[in-house]
Amino acid sequence: MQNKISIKVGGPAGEGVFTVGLLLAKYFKLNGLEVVYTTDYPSLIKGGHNTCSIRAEDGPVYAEMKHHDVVACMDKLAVQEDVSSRNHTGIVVTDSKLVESMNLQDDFYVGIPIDSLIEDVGKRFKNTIVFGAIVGLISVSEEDAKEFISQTLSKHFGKKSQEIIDTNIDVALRGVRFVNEHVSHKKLNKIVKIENTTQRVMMTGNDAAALGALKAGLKFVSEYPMTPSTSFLSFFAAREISHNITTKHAEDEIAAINNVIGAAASGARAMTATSGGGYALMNEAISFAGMSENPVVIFECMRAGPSTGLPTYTDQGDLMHVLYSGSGEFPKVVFAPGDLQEAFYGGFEAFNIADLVQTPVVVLLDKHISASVMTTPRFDTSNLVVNRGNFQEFDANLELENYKRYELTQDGISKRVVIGQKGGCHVNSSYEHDESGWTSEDGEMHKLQMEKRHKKLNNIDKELIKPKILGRESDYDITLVSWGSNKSILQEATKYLEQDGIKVRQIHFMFLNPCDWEYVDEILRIDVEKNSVMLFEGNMTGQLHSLIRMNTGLNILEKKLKYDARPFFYEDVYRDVENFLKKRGMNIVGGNQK
Amino acid sequence: MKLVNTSEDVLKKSGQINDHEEVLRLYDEHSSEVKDWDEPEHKSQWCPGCGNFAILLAFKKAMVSLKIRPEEVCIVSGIGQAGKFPHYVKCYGVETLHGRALPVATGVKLANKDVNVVVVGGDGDGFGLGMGHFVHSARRNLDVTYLIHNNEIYGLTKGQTSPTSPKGTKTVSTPNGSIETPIHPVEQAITNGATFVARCFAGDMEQTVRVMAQAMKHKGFAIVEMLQPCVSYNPSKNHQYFKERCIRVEESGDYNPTNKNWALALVHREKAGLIKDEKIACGILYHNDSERGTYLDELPESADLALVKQDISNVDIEGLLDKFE
Repeated sequence: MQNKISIKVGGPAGEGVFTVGLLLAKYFKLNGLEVVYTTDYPSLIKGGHNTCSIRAEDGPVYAEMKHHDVVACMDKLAVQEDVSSRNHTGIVVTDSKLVESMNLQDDFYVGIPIDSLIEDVGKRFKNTIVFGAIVGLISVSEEDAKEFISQTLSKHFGKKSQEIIDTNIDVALRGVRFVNEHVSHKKLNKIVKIENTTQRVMMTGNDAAALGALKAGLKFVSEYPMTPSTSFLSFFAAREISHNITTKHAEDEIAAINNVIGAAASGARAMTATSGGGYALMNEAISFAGMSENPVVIFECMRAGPSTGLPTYTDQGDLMHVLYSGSGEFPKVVFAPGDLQEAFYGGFEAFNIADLVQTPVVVLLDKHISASVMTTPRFDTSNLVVNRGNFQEFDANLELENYKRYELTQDGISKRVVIGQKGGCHVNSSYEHDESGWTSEDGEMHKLQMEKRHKKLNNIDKELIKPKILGRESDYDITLVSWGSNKSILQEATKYLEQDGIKVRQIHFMFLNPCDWEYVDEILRIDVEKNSVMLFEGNMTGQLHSLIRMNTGLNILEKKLKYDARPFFYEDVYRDVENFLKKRGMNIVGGNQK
Repeated sequence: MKLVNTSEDVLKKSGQINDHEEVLRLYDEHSSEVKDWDEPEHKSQWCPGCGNFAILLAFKKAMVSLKIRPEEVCIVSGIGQAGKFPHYVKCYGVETLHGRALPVATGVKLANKDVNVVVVGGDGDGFGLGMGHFVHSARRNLDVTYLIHNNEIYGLTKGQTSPTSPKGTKTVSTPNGSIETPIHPVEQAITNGATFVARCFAGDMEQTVRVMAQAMKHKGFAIVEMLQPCVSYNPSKNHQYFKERCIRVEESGDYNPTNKNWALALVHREKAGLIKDEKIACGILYHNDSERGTYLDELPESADLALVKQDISNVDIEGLLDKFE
């Protein structure tokens, strides 16, 4: 028996599709499994068509699947849209009313008489009954189901009254009992609880990054809501008092970033979060932060563009935009976490780097990592050290002498002070300035200050800015290259490719600027020349591809670009790699990728 | 500070020689009084005779009268001639982007409530790009003081119509006369919820110093419209023009600055052109300390200690992580 399952739930917005998904995710986590929970929804509040997918296994899982063991359809549209995403042994759970009215005769349909099962408690329990029915189909026994349903619902409705929790448990168990009595012949993988000794958490990428920021001593957040970055705002707003963080819902993104610059100039660790459109509005101020050397951290959660685009769908189209945003030339740090661990430690480290090099730091996420819920080992915070760089903490008894905010130093870094520090008066300026901050239009001083600002990036840890080699370092058939959240999807594909005897080296670009391009050249040149490198990106024009070519001259010929606003499926990646290698004459046994 | 090397020719051409001489005289008179706030190294980039000189002197005198230290003040400015203000005062300064002084000031103040934040910018900066921020800052009632210099013209870009230019103003950007109705700064400030609204002409140095000091002491968003001649691009409204018209509103019989309706009635008479002899009421036009609390009063997270002074070396997130288990 294998603990391995993938479920899709579809239905109209407002009917609790995501609640079913989240309950299942929690249910699987309680059973010791690793979980990925992803959502797919249009930009509206009620109606429309929402789906979510929940995948759980007893080993690491990083990405959703294309085809599912169970597809739950909560309305007619879901039946029409989602039944095709069942796998060849998959079953479809739906309302028995629909089975009848739509004449669904195939034996993979499981009809649940939802209305009669929840007649006494009301329609709002529809999602609970669907959750119960699915659990009934995959649990080994009713007792087992009961135990984990109770735990799941108690945890989920933790703050609600015992009565609400009890009613939900009762309704879910009706679902379990119904399928046990009526559809026990359906063959499905059963989920058995396993002992998982790793201490784990389950959250979104935005949650992980926000927790990292919190640990870093974030004091000030200003943000204007924009999907898929909005959860940062609510995360911090909910912790304003418990963690002493001023959280401002600004009047617009321009105000948000300028609020953050002001707070950073004051001496506080400060951040904003946005998506591509909001980031576009921030461009001028990002250049200002670069010029005035204020350490600001920006989380840019990409969605599919251009313009308003597809607000609730994923994309990697903002890489070049972010790298080259802002007028003039100034240093900017840009990195893209590939999973929850990198989102958390990156969220923490972004503030240390910002304080170290005193310039904007942009953390690039995308909807897939921002909003997908995943399990991951609990973050170890014991070794995290807040390092404020060359910064004078406020000291009422100290009077600085001959202080120069923009002093020309060997490493380009000059001392920051808290506004209010005795002896620290200066102008923090968007104009070019001399060492004191006084506006200067002198050509020589401009050159010196330009060089000062740019060389600051050399102070970042040299190991950090190398792309990461995952899996094999030598003896490989193929190299897979990606950046950001595609790291995880390629890791999944790699797992199955390796099972089929294909030796894979994976290269993940987390740091996009600065990046050790000499090292990139070193690890890629031979393979590019042999044409044994494949690049995967979630955009149309191959932005990382261009960046690599621009900085190394290397032209990766085989690029897989996905711009349908959906994440890659690892099954497709597997097939792409398989086809590419076959084309190059490699003999592949295949067959394990499912 | 060093005043500009005044070329007699330039001053004669602009017809402002007497005004500038008066400013020079004032600076001589007060130089020792305001020396702690001077930036002696910095040579002014303003035109000879610019209204900014008197405003700057008034500001320094106001700071002296408040007995605060330079490091306790941060001047946040926009871009424009007024935006150069922080360079000529010895205190902290942030010279931001055009139109964005208010949001930067909001961040400075929220992160460090112990700093006295003063925002300085012109009419183009504040009512052009910055208008949205102006409205939100007024409703926010953060404890900052906004000195908005109004010379009804864009100076730094060489003389275009500004949002406060009267209808019909002919400039290079509106050669046939501007079509739009001007913004009335006092009206905007009051109707958007500012709790301290004043207007000053620095030609009346005594009143300007007094009003600036009161604006700084006010708990909440304080706006002072600084009427200002632009000798280069709006020469018809020169020192003489304002001297003849500006009156001290506090000396008028019906003066009632705690009453919003009184202040708005004055605004409406001004807009309708009903003021006798075109007199301009200067002084505090609306002031209500008890109307509502400041934004910071509502933020418990920095009630005890300014955010920048809180220890961040070891923030505990373990309890939060437990919730995600």
